[in-house]
Amino acid sequence: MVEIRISGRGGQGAVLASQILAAALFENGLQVQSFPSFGAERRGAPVSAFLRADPEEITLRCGILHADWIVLFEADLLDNPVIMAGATPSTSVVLNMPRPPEKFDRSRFQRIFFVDASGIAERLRLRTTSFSIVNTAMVGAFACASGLVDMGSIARAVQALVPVKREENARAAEEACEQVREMVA
Amino acid sequence: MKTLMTGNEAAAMGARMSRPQVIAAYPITPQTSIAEKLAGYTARKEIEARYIKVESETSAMAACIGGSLSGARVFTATSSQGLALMHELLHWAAGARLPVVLVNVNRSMAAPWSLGVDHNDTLSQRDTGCLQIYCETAQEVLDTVPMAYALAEKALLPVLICMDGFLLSHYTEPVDLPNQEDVDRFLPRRRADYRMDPNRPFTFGGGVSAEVLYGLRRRMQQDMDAAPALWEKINRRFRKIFARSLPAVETHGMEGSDLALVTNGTMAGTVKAYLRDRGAEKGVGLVKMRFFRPFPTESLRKVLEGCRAAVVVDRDLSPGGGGIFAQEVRAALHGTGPGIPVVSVIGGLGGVDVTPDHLDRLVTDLRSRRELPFETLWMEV
Repeated sequence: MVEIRISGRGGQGAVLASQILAAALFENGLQVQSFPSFGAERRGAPVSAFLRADPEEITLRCGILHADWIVLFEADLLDNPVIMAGATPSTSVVLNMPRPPEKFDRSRFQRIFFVDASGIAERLRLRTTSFSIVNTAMVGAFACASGLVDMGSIARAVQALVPVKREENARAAEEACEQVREMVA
Repeated sequence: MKTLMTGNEAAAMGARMSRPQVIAAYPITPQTSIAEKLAGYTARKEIEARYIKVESETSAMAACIGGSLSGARVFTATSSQGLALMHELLHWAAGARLPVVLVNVNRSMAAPWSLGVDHNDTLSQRDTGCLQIYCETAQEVLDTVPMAYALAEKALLPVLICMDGFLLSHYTEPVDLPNQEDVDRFLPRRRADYRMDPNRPFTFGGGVSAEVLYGLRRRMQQDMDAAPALWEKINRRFRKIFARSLPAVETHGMEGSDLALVTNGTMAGTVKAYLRDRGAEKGVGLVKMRFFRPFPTESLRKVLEGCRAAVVVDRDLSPGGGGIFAQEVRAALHGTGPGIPVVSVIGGLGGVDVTPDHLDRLVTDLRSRRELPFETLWMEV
């Protein structure tokens, strides 16, 4: 079973990102379960969405504590103890940042990927008045970083689930897939 | 066709496929997306129902009672405080023998305000005369709605379909979507023997003598007693068409196990995950209870026969009494053979996580004791 946590700020589309990934993984023949963090969520506050995928039926009904993958829409959430609770050295992360961090404890995670999702979203004019919408770029980056799901399924899930600017969102996923890089020691 | 949907979407789809003629619902977290979906279906004329907008849950149930009296198939959905607001009219709907189907998305009762799940909202409706069926998955929710209509319209009693808030209502998961033609074949239009009709007037719910009321209550109990057999028949018919069934009590891994974890709702799913990894080595099995009313005494006695103990994990609490399911299981097992001790455990109130590790600590603790505890245990958070 793979357990994934997607964290961003309220309004950035973390829940939709987890649903796109769920649809793509489901198309690949896996059983999936996706769910938002619960409570009174607010725009701008840190929020999370969760995803489980497994070849077998998933019957677990509880939160994900030790995620195998953490996808962060904003790299500064790395310092947020609530968002990062349960991360272990066997967790891998995908970060939205233009270049790898200079001072970074490499041993915190198993694998570290980074992609300039904000830059991609800005160039494709995927934004609100206050922030860029990076969810589809981060989905593409995760797909290629993890190798868990193919880009054809991602493109179809984006077309099916994203309510506006489908072409641009599909492009964002595609570009992020090409640009995502792993931080090497 | 397999597709992904949330528990709430499955509830709305189950209602849609059952072709209700009257829908009246008032939005409340975490039920809101059910009301929204059904309002959308009716606004776009995808279903022929009349959606009655109401200003409270009391009015929603009143509209359902009126619709049901006129012979229509009616649907409503609510949660926690909303269900409590319907309480008086749930007695009325049951007493008037109306086959109302209600989906309740379980949520803690205030105070304090909380959005998480426990079952005190529906269990507080225990004595209204409504049947209660608890679901574990979105598939079960979707399937239970047409089956509940089949049962309600035969038994002439309202059915509460109970599903865990967030842990089911907001989880997106695979669901096998039935064909509308198959559902139509399984569930034909409702035929009411007596209905409110100006051309054929009857009085409904009028004043009666004590003797008549006494007789009617006795009939209600008899019809509740007959409901499990009726449900089995409905299950056989459902399985023929859809190759699935939802027995009142279900077991997993009970063969060779001397300890039974008895629970309901989504907690059963987490127990299954625990059993898959550690069930055999720990000698534990699962008894999942779908029915709470009528209480499936006979099935329960059968599946628990020979067990060393029944460990009832309640996601509810009757303050001063303990776990509500545990009390009822104790009563159901009383007087059977050598007697099966019941251990009562409270867990998951307000939606607090219960994980396989929690279950493992519980089982390990019970195995280490020389005598089983009679006092209520609380699962650690």
